[in-house]
Amino acid sequence: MVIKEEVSNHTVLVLALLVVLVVAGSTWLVLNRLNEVEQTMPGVSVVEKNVETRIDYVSPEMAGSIGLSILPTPQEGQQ
Amino acid sequence: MNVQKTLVIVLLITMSLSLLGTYSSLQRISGLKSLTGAWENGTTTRGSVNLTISQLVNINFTQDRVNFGAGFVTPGLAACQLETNTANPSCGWTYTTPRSALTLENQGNANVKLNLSNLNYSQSFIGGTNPGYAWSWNDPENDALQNTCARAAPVNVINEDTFVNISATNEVLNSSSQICSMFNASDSNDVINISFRLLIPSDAVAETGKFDTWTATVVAV
Repeated sequence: MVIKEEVSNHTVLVLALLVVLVVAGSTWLVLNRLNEVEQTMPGVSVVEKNVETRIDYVSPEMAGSIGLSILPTPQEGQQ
Repeated sequence: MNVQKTLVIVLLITMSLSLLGTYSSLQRISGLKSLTGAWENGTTTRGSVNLTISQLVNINFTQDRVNFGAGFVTPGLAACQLETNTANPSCGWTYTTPRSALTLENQGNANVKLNLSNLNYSQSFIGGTNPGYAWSWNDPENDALQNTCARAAPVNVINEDTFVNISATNEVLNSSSQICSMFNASDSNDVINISFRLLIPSDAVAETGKFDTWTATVVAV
């Protein structure tokens, strides 16, 4: 035996209104969340970093040397 | 019929809101460039790094001393010749390993003009009859390229590996003696050796601690 129940137009109208409320609420939630994301973004900042390698020590002059010692010639008979 | 018409209107509103919400969400999300938080909506963030490398003029005698040690001319010989990078001549000096030449290196990052000067000449340094005091230079690194020491006028014409005697009448080295018009700073071509050849006559006066000082002076090219 098949039981056939008819849904009244009034019920459909109520359900449609519920759909409207759900969709509107969902949309509002999404937009609200996106607004929060925007507000928590880091502020715009410009980073200017100057790195200067400067070596103050300059050596434009250096000296070297050459040396020797001349010893007396040993006298004859000395070792 | 009236209820059905209202139902259609409500559903149309529902679809419109849904589409509007979707469109709005897409617009907002597309404004996000990436998950790094960077925006591309006209407020582009830019960072910059400036780097300045200063010019450095710096030379160094990495081998700053040539010491032939002590000795005397073997009796019976007229003179004894000592030379850097050469074995002991067995004429009266006792060193066993060859004496290294002076080594001058451009350790800066700038090509420079190189001047050399010294204090003595053969007679004042060694003394005796016909003493010899000669020097030469060469570039041991990549010698074939000849990039270490450019020699444009008014550089003294002193050829590489050619000994030049420093006598009273031939004072090659003085404060204005420019050896290289450009002494290279490149690590592969920045070394000059300064070699010496001494001729000690048998009548040179005995004296300990004889020395001569060589000074290298550079200015940036």
